[in-house]
This record gives sequence, C-alpha cells and structure tokens, in this order.
Amino acid sequence: MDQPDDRPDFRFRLTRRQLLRWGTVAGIAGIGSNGCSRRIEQAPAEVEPYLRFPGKVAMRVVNDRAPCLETPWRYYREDLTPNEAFFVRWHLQAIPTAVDLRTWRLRVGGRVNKPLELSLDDLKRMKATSIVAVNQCSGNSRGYFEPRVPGGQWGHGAMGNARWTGVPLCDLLKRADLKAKAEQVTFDGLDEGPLPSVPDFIKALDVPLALQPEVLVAYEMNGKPLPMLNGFPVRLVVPGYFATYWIKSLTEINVLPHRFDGFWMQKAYLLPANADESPHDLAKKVAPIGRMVVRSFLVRPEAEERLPLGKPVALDGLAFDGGEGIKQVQFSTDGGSSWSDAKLGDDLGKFSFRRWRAEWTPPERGSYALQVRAVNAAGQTQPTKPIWNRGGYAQNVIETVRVHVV
Amino acid sequence: MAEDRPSRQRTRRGVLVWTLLAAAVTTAIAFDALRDRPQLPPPEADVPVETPPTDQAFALPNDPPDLPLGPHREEFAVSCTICHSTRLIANQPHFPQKKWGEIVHKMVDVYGAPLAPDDEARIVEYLMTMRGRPE
Repeated sequence: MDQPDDRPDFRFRLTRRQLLRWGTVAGIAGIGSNGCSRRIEQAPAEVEPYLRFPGKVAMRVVNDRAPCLETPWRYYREDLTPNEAFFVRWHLQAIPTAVDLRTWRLRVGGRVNKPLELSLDDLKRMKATSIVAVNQCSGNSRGYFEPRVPGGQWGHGAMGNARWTGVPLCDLLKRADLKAKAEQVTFDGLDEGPLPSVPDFIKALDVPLALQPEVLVAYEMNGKPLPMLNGFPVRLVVPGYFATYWIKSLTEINVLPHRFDGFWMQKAYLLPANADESPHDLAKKVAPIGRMVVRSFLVRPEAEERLPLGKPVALDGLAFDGGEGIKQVQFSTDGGSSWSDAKLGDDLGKFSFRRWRAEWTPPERGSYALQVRAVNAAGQTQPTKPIWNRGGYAQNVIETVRVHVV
Repeated sequence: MAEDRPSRQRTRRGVLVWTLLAAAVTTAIAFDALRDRPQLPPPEADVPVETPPTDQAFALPNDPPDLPLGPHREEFAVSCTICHSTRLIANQPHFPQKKWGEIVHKMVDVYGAPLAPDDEARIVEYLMTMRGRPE
C-alpha cells in the first residue's frame, strides 16, 4: 500500500509565513532548474483557510457549505469554551441565517393530549435550569483515522463545553401530556436540504431518555443567546450524548407511538453493535451512536513545542465522558511506560470538561512522547490502540503529544 | 607564466572554498527554515466578535479552493455544489477509484443527486484528478 502521506496536520498546518519560507527554500534549491515558477503548484492541497463567520472568531474551515468550523486549540485552556470559538457543524444547506422571533414558534405535537406552540418568551417564562455539558461531534478526530475514512476531516476541535440554560424537555413533555404508548420523540430544526430528495435532518430519542431531567431545550449558552451558527434561538441539549442529537434551531418536537425510521437514525450515525470493525471485515450489526466514551487531552504544552531543560513544565488538559464523571487522570512522559496521577481541577458537574494539571521537570534534552488517560466513575478508560469504524466516529484512543526539551 | 600557476591555483581554490562555504550557509538557512516550529495563534484573535442581529439574514463567507484542471471539472463543480461546497472535497484524503465510485453513488442513491450513470463516471474521473490515488 503506497498511500500518499496526506494526513492533515491540524494543529500545525502551514501558515503564510511558512509558505514563504518554503518558497525561499524552493528558490534556493531551484536555481538553474527553473524551480521557482513550479513551487506554487506544489503547495500542499490541504492548506485550509481560517475564516471568520458571523459571530465567530477565525476558525478552521472543514466545509464552507454547510458550515463546519473547528475550534482553535488554544480555547481549550478554558473550562467553558467561548461561544464565539465554539465549533460549528451543519449538515444541510440552507441553514438559518435569520430568525424573526415575532413569528418563530416551538411546536410540540404527535402523541400528546395538549399540543403546544410556544414563543421564545413563553419558554423563558417557564422554570429555567442550567447545566454544564460537553458537546462533541461524533466525528471529532476523524481526520486521524487510519485507514482514512470519508467525511468531515475534523482534527480534535469538534468539541466544546458550555453552560446551557433553558427549559427541561421533560417539563415541556409533561405540559403537552404524553399519551400512552409513546415510544420515541423526534426533533427537527430550521435547516433544510437543498433538494426535496435530501432527507431532512431529524433525530430521535427514546421516551425514557427524553424524560431525563438533564435534557434541555436551551436558549442560552454561557449566559448569552446562542450564536446563530450554534442553533439560535433554541437547541436541544442531551448531556452525555454525542452532538448529533443536539438539534440546532429546534422548531418541532414530535412524539411517536413507534420507533422513528428516518434516514439520520437508520442509515447514518451508526456504530458497529459489538466493538470495532475493520475495512475488510465490516460489522453486520450496527446501531445508532449514543453516549460519549471517555476521552482526555493534553492542552498545554502543544505538539512539537520546545521546552527548556531543568525547569518545571506545567501540564494541563481536559477529560470528559458520557456522564459518569471523571474520577482519575494520569499522564505519562515516556510514551505510556509509566504513569503518574494528575490533579483534578474544578468539578463543574459530571457532564462537563474536567480540568487536570500536573508538573513535570524534564530530566534531560531530547524528544518526549507525552500521554494522558482518564478513568470515569464506572471504571471505563481509553484504549492504547486507535479504534476504527467506517463512519470515523467515537475515537477515544490515548493521545500522544511530542515535545522537545532543548 | 610558469610562476603564475600556483597563484592562479590558489585563487581557484579560494573561489572553491568560498563557494562551498556559501552553499553550506545557504543549506543551513534552508534547513533551519524547514524545521517545524510551534505556531502563534492566528493574528485576528483580538478582533472583537460582534453578535449579528437575529432577524436580518447575514452572509456566510466563502473561500472556494482552487480546483485543478482536468476533464469534467465543470460538471463536477456544478453537480456537487448543489449540496455542499468544493472545500469539503478538497479536504478529503486521497481515495482509490473504487472508493470515489462508492461515494458518488451514495450521493445519487441516498441524497438524490441528479446524475445519470454516465455523469457519475465522469465525476469520479475528475475526483481521481483532484483527490485520487492508485488502489
């Protein structure tokens, strides 16, 4: 297999300055061989732009339409990811770029005795609840899958942690008064496919999950209205579950007496029912993706950073899981041969990022493979080998970050 | 003439030494330039973010990638951008022809991309130009 090495280097992609440097080198190398003029064409294909979308800082563009934008790594130094840097992932264009709150309504219907039609003010008059929860795309880190898989080529920046405020879904469902034999609840947002043949993005939750008190219809994110690109005016918040269920610009809630058979539940966002699969041995049994798995990251220092010899280095990062809560974080400075406990930071709730910190004094010059692993309250931890599935979902391998002590 | 030879040789040796030295310095600079360094955050970090009004539609920025020249480039650009931008494809890994065939067929089969079977083959041909690799 001679596969071209086209793995995107998300955190340290070429900058304009580096391209100039390459150009200089090419100029020097190309004297007498007419090398200069060819150099531009040979620039790597995957130099993605950083663009500023409305209400957002400059973010790496995974896709322009529908917008998929990745959070720059430095924002994970904060426990709560700022709204303006929070990752964006839409499936269908057209996405809403304006919402007139005078006419916007949230409808609750289907197998209920009292269908509802609520304005944003109606929702805000109901009892509000706040919860800090991680929102992570199922395909976060897909760009690092090996063998590579098609789809949005995310680095690790398709995740964020925010304080969500809104109305518990169970309160809305109680108010609408579920009829007997309600089995699933579906959620639809304002986004629409560009062709009638494109399946509308609708997701479903089982009724018992929909009635959990932590599931919210949220109208605030970190104390502010949701950015349009993160689902203004309200979005579903399903703490512990992958972001595919967190329907943005939610406008319709429908209670069904049977299982929902729509495309986005039956054909997409599926995982092998039992453990892994491989490209040559695809799983026959698949099931909709659900709860997030345990993950942890080193935030600082960053990959390929140079550290001074003999001075203590502050390591910090984050860990999270599907809602059991993080109990322990360990780090290794020798590629996983030995492990030490890290100190856990503020506990913002079992659905939140959990900060961890440690100090390490590099003993000698050279390159080091730093690793971090977390254990949750149920004793679940992370695999040492990367997982693989055809969708590029739910990666949670122990990550390695190389640093150089000089 | 005979006395001149050693001094000319010395001059030539001098030129050689200086050339080699210059080459060494240039190479050193070049290698230094190639070394991977941690990048500073993008420069726009301090520009304040304005919250757009919610009842006025805003424009989404767009920065389409350059599409390499190749057969069926126009068909590709027209058909595929009905649903998504070309950036999504520019960011994909290199795939063999069979894989691109499956992906394009999924677009027709699942999402109803309006393509005849011949169109599918043409678009796969362009995708091989753009992001293809041998089996």
